Amino acid sequence: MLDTQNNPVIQFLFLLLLIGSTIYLFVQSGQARKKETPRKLVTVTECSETGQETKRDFQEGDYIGKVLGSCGENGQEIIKAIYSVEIKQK
Amino acid sequence: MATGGASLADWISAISQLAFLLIFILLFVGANQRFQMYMWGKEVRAALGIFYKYYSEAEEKTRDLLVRNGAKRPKTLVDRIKDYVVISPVDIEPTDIIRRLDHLLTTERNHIKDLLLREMPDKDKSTRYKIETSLGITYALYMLYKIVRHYLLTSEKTNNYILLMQLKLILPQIMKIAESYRKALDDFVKGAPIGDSIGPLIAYRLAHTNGNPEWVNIDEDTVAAQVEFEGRKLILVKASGPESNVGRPGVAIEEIVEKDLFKTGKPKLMITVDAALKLEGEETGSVAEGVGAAIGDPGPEKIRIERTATKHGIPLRTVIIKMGMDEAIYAMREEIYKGGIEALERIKTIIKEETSEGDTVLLAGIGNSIGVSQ
Repeated sequence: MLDTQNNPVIQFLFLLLLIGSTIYLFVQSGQARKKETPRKLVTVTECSETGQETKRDFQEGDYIGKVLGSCGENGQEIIKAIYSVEIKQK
Repeated sequence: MATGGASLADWISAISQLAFLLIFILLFVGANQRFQMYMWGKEVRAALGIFYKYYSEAEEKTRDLLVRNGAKRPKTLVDRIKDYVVISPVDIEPTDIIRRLDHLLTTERNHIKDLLLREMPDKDKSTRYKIETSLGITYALYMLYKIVRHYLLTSEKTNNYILLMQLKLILPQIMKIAESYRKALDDFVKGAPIGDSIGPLIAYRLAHTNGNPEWVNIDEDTVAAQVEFEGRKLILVKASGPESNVGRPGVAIEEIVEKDLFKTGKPKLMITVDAALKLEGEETGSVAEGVGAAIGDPGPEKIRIERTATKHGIPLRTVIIKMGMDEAIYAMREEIYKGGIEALERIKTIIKEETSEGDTVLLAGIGNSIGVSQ
């Protein structure tokens, strides 16, 4: 059976393990955090007459209820929703 | 016994034993605790650097926004507001505490609005409210930085091992809050609806089910409209939009019911709809219903809704859309929007089940109306 108490090599390995775990503590404490999935804002517009929906990228100045112009014969194109979606990574 | 000079093994053995002896001596004099304190302090200091960076970025963005909008003294304004204090009212004598708190909060709100109006008299309300929110975020990030710094320095000064440990353990949560504020600032500047805007969005959707209703100002920042829904008179309340604004829904509900502003008589049912914090593990955008006033103000608005409902014996129902604290201040996520559509259907069911044709229903869409008009 291996004599671990009087074996200097094993004692030395224990010492190395101690020093190694201390260094690991230092390194681990400064590690970067996990990043979030990127997202983008989309604006959904709807024609009040036909009910047709269109999706496009958000532009500054967009808000829900904003009238963008006319559509169909007498309808108005209105912003119906604005929300963020995940950008799918390729 | 070996004769002659010591072998390499003897040397290794001697060094190892000496090292272990040294470690034991250090353990007895508390070096392990000092080392642990040093490690925690190092981590908190690193986080403090990040908090300072977030605060500096927010301050710079806010100052830049002020300069672009022609503010006369942007630096002075930011310096005045980032250290603003609201001293809590006396609570060992609770009589009229809500009135006193309401008075303090109204004074604060009016003072900041007034400061911004004086700085940018020719700018529209929407721009001023956007800047007000940016100032609020800068204030919050500055407070986080200052509080963490205070506890770190106090623990070091008093050699308080437990205080530093508590600070280190709570650090991930504080970091999450700081990151949310930092990211939210960009979304607020863009003017897009945030997660908390789901309540006003539902009120908007209900109002536009059958055309465009006429909205009236109840308070400076709160609007209401009356529409027909399945034979019921539906009164809708929300903060005015699309500027960044939470309005005063409690004041509006009290006024509408007490003064019968829409000449509809006493409501048969009151509903509040709002974003609510989810528990970890719950899905973002999930919908729940119940009773009570769903509103996250410090108290004055919520108590007005509760008192009005209780005084007139009106059932107070609530529908909430669940989300994380960060998601409530980020640009509205698709899951929250879809949750809002589900909540809208739930509200319609509640109205049909719990009232009859000809009844009046009062619904308040609680939350920030940024990016949602009326």
